[in-house]
Amino acid sequence: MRCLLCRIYLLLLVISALLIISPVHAAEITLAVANSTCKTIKAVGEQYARSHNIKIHYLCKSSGLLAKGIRGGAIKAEIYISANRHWVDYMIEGGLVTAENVTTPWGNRLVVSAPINSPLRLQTWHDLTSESINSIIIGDPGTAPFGRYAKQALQKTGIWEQVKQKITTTKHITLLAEKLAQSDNKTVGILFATNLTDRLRPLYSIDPSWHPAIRYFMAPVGQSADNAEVTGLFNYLQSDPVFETFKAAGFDVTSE
Amino acid sequence: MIGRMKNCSLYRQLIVPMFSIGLISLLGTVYFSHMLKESVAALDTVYVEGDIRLRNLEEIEKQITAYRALSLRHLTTENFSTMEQINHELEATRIIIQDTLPKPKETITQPPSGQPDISHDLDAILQTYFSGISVAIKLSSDFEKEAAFAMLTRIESEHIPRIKEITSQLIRNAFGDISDSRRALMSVATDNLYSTTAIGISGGGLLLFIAFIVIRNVTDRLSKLLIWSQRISQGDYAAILTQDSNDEVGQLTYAMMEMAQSIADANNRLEMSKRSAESIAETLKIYANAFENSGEAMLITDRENKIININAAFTRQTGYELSEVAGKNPRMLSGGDTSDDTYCEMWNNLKRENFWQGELWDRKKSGEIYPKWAAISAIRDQQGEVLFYIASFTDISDRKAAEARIEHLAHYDMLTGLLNRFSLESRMEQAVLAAKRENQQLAVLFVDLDRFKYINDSMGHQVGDQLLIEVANRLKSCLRESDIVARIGGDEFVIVLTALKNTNQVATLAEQILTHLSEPYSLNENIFESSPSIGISIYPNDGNNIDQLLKNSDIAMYHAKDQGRKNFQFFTSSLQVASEERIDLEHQLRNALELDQFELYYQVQVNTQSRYIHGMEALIRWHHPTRGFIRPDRFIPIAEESNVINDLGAWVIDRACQQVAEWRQISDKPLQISVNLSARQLQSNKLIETVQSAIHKHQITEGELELEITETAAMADPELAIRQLNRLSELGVSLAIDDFGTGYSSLAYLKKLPINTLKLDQTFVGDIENDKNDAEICMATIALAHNLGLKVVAEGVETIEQRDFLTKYDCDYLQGYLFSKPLPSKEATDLIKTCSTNQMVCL
Repeated sequence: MRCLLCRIYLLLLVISALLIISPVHAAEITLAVANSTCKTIKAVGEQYARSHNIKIHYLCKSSGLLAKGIRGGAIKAEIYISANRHWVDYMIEGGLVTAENVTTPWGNRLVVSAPINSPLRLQTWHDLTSESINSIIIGDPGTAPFGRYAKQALQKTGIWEQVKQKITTTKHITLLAEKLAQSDNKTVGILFATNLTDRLRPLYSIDPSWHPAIRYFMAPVGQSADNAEVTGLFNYLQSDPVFETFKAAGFDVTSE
Repeated sequence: MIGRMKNCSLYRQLIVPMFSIGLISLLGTVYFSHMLKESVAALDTVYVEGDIRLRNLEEIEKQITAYRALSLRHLTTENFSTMEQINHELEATRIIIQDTLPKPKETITQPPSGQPDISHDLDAILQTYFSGISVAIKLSSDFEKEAAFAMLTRIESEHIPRIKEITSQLIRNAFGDISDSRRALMSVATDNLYSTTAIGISGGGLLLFIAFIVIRNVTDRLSKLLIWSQRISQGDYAAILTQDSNDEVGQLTYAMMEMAQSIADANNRLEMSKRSAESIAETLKIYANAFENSGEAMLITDRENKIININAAFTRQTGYELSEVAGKNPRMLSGGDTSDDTYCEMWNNLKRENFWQGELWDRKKSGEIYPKWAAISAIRDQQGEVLFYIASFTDISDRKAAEARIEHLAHYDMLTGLLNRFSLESRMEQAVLAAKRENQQLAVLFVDLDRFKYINDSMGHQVGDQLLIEVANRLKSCLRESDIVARIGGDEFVIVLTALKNTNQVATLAEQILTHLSEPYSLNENIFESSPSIGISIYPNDGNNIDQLLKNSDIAMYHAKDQGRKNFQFFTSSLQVASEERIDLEHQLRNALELDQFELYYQVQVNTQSRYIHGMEALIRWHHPTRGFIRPDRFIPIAEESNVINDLGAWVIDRACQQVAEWRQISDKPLQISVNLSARQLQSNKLIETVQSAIHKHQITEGELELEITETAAMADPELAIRQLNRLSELGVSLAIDDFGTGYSSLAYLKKLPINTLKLDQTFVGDIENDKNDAEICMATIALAHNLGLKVVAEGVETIEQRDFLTKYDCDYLQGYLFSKPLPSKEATDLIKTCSTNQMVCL
């Protein structure tokens, strides 16, 4: 009986080993992608993979976490896409990205949003300080760029100290979208326009001059800048069809 | 100085120095105790302070840990209001830590040299730590978690190790302080103890010295006085003594000299009177002794008849001491049962003749009234006036009681209080005479208790005795006053009903006695079942003298027992015949073994599955020379009662073993022979020996011999049965319970017995086809036996239906007329031979 189990186990091992080894010819590329672009990058990547003998893996986290992970060796990726300059600089400092390889193909906008059924209205930006709103969810300014931008906008308009006690932070943008969708009628969230889901409703579009320009930065990581397959995908991500897709998803595709 | 002190009193000589030395010692001790108390109080303060410091330090350590945990929690919190809350907690913790911080040391002991006070360091470093953390917290509150975390890490790594180091150093210091104080306390206490001890020893020594000087002085003079007084006491009144001082000893010397003079004078006077007194006292002593030690109780009263003396025997008899009766009138002893006439006669006699004797009923101190024989004398002076009365008494209650008991014993049974055999006979004689005279009938009921012997043997005589008393009481309650009831031995009672009008009355009464005596007996917290068997004979029909009547009622009683006990039977002439026959059989049974009148028959037992012969049951037959064949159930009970059973049983076992040994030669399969054991045999202490010798003699192997006992036999004395059966089992004898299902069927008990086989009684087997209950009992018994690991033999299988039923329910072996009737040895041997070659015959 035991021996029979042993045999089955061995057989399974062999089969799984064969399954792993068989697609040895297809190149594999891992994209480390800021959460806010994750959905769109995936759509674009699938399209690319269909016409190329390539397999793409996606790692969607906040830009800071990805940068730290790659620098610390916990994450292996060929291309890094950050939602702000800060974390790309962090990568350059770490010698993982060459400055001249960094491009900024698209940008984004911040919106104040509420759950789809919320009757909340936001006439002016300063309404955020009113009593009708008792909770504002933003990204963690430390690691999530959309949080950093939100904080900067609030500071620049001089209401940060007033609204601070209403603030709750989340680690990344998908989490924020989900959390906001389940919130009550007195809660709003600040997130990228591209990350609004069908359970959310935009209330107010934030003036881009209140915070540094929201740009995405993309660069091949380490030695993969020399890899033809990586370069191929990297270039494709900056091509017109991709811009169209990004534009359709709400990104700002005008160059900086 | 000592010389001068001689004129002071001894009290002064001793007390003054003792008091002053004691005072000095006391003052010294008080002083040192005070010093000790001061030191202890001072040290106690240090001790308590050290303890508080230690606890504070431990608290600080705990709170710092809490503070660190809180600050970390603040950093991981994403919600502002939660952060505010944590911030408050942090602030509170910080205040606790700062309040608990140790103050700079203020001790009476010296601080350990070379060690700077580091509690200031702790204070300073904590301040830096707190301000650093508050910056980090501020960042965290501004949602700059990254920066806050980096800062927190830096501050922690900078300060925490140092804080920990300082707190543990402080804890070590506090421990050090405490042990220092303890050492200081010890040394102060030790010093103090030494000083106090020194004062005590020197004071005590001085006291002893002074006491020694004074006492030596006094002793010296006292011994002189002693020698002098010894000479005086020896009668040397001329001895000389000088008074040398005025202290107590000097005064004593003077007083003694005066006393010596008085004694010398008195001695002369005494010498003269002594001689005359001695002769009087001698005489008085003899009288006093005679009075005091007399075996008879004696009493002396004065002329007013007031008690002035009693002797020891009086106290023993009445219980009164002299102090209780002195000065009282002897009337107080009167029990009130003596007639006034007796007292009148007594006084008259005393007046006339100075003497009276007679029986008086008096009362003891205990209240008990008792008879006594009194002899009283009046003693008069020469003028004829009464001086005193002297009386002596003998307690005659024992004699009276003995007379009464002898009377009772002669006529009554000691245990039950019923008539005994002797008085039964005399009362019956009168009753028979009366019946003859008045032409009436009499009934004699002979009652014997069933199971009495069992109860008596198993529960002890005490319980047996209680049972008899209870039976006697129940009997009395059933009878009229005029009826005679007696216990004539063991468990046998005789009742005589007099003046009968018709005999129906007797049956009714017998029935009543039967019911009454059969009710359960509650003795010694146990409930027992017993019942009577009653035999009845009637005068004049069944005999015209008491011997005849008793004998016939006895025979009728035996008949009642034979009828299954717990019933009553009238005597009939046929019973007499049966009784005589029984005696006859018993006599012939004793000779039958020697005359070789017994024979064993064998009935085959068939294996249900294979249909081979499994074994044979040996059954005994008695060929009586004149009566022909006698059934075992007729003679076995007689054999049991007359003890022939043991010899007969031994013969059967030996014969059966011999037979199975013979069959072993002709059969190709091993056969088993079953032999029935009677209850009496099972209880016999010769059983094991008998079986052992038979096995040895015929080389019987294990399983060849099976002994069958009835459930009832095993239950008669379960402990003994278990012992015997275990020993039989050890001998390799297979054991079977016969007639299973008819007796107690105690399963728990059955498990204790080392049995191999159950025999299913033929009464159940016989009715399998007709009675559903019997069929179920058979099934259940087979299942039960198999459950206990036993084989089952069904007895009395007579029809094919029975055989098929028993086969269906897995009964192991079958026995009965369907296969073969019991056969004599030769035919049984033939059957075995045939079956060995052709098993079909056995089916």
